[in-house]
Amino acid sequence: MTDLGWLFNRGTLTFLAGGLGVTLELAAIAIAVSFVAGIVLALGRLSRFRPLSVAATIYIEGMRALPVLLVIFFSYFALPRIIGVKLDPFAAGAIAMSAFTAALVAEIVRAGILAVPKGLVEAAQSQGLSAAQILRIVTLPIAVRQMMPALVAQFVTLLKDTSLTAVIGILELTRRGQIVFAQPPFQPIPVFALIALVYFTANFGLAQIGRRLEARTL
Amino acid sequence: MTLARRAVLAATCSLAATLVLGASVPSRAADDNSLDAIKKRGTIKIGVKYDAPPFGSLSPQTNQVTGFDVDIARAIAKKIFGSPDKVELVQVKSDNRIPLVQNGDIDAFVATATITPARMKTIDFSNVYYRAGQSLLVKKNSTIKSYKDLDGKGVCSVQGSTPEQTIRRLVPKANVVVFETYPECLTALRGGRVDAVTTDNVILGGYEAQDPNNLELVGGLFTFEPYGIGIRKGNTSLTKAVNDTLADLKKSGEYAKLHQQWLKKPLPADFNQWYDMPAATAADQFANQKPG
Amino acid sequence: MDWSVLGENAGALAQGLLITLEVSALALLLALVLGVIVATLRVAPSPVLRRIGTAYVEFLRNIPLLVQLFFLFFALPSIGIRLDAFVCGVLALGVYTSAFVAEAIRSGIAAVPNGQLEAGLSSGMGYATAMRLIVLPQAIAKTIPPLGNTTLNLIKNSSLVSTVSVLDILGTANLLGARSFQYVPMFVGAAICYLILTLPTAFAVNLLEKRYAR
Repeated sequence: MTDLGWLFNRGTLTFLAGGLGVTLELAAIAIAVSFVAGIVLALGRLSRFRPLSVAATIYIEGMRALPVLLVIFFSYFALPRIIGVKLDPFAAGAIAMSAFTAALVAEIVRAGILAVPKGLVEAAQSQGLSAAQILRIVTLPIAVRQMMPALVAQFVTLLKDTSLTAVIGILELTRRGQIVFAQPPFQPIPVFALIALVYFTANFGLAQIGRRLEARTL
Repeated sequence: MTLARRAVLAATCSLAATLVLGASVPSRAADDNSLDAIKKRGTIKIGVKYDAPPFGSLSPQTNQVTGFDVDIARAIAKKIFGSPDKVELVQVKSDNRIPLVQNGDIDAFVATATITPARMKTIDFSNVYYRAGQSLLVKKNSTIKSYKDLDGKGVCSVQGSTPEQTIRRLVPKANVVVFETYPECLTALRGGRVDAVTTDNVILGGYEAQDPNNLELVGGLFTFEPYGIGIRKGNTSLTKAVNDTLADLKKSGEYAKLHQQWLKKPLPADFNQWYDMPAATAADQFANQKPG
Repeated sequence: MDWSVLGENAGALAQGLLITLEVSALALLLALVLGVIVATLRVAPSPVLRRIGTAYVEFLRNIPLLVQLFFLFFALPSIGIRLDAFVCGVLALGVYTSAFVAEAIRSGIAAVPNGQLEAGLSSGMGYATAMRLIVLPQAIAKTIPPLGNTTLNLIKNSSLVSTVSVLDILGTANLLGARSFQYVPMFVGAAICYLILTLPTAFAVNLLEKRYAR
């Protein structure tokens, strides 16, 4: 128990670091896709075109009411049957994380846009600014400032939730931890301590960056 | 936004790649894999696994592929060329070994492949060269000696696998616990959460070898998984040479030596019942087996 | 796709729904008790206590629930502590959620003007009594909307117990999907079960939000 050479050696640590790489890659893809898709969904929900806003609302509320693990399993086991394309675990995981997070980001974006006082927009209109200028100079800066804390919190949740893709066999950090302690000398506790520390550092770091961004935008 | 675009691009690409790779490989102008062509070429290309010890695995230290299957491949080269070194080893996986043989990219594979009627429709197999089967891994000194002792006991396998379904059918009263992969099952066994892990003896043997002081295989093999060497359909000249090799290996005692060297066990008692069994018979027995 | 598998297995899914409810209810109870205690620590006058409270919250919030659950299920037996899978699920879920409950309550307490506590203290109440009688009741009213959201997340997170072989909604769907190879109907059935639990909860949370968030 005292000699941890089996864990702290180059091979094992490289193996685990590779897992962190997969975790971060998955999170980065999901953040990027869900950010764009979330804005589209939010604008859809705010749209005056009723079918669009109804469809966006159903998607958002439906996703928000389901466990992300169900979405992951669905994407991996069921989606290939529907679309007729075999998905490798990473693709299935990336799709699930993106599709799920997009619904939550959409609500954050929508709240941000709604928080912009109507009077400001009207004042800008009376000054003769174009719609695009209003969006760029007035609406977006205020909306983004409003959104930032919730968005960062959401991405911390996302980074944690990537661990769930371990159950469909993606070789991310948690899965690789499982593999390491299933091998001699079969000691799970030091492995858990290490991966918990890695997650903590990554998430805490992300939260700190968020706090700094928040301070800057305010 | 460039990050977002790159990510979308990456997602699209991986989707496209899956589409392309998932589609069946179109048959291409046939390479000649007949025995004459192989002799003219001077080497035989044989697919083996690189990640399935003790059958075929790549050692990171020496960068050499070794194992039971590898030595069978070398024996085939020795039979054809008189030298075991005239073999060109190609890495194969369970999902690409059949297309590679169909296309003629490799002449044959020795890669832990079970002879099944479905596979016999697309490729030919040599006679049986190894018998695998479902077995049980338990802690040393366990009261479980056979699958019949599993009533009311916890037994672990991988979700959706054939072994899971077999054990449910064989022992309806067993408490079958499923996880996504075998490492979880092993951890559950060590932690006393389940009393046994079940799947192919080949996989279980690997785990037993990692921890021989605490774990052991019990209950023999209760399914029949005949392994054969995959050869392109209609390539009778090569199939005959391979079957001759297998017969020689038995006669010379070489097979028993390889068995001891790689599988750490003498030949099993039922060796003569399956070794050299014709592929068609093996596929039939596989399809009609009643486990137990 | 064979949808009849859904009808044949409706009973099993309903059983799973009960397990999900049980896990969620017990975990929520644990989370509320622990959450109130930790929230009190976080606003305690002693800096040491405050730091303990903060460490508890940050530690649990920043480590994936799955890792915590796997720790209880896979790692603890290696030192001789073997808890039942169901117990592991309730413990992991309850302790993890307690960090979020504590945060919700702390922000509620922070919203209660300081003068109220001081008034209680100056009228001779101890710190604990003043907290219990004056600050906490007001704070709880303010924390009901965020607590509603936390509860919603808890119900959804309870699906993680399926990874340690508990047959909740998701565990049942997964198992039957693997057995019948009819994943699509089974997961759609599971989704319906979760919606039965989460949609009314979400509706109630929205109502409460409107009532309390003037």
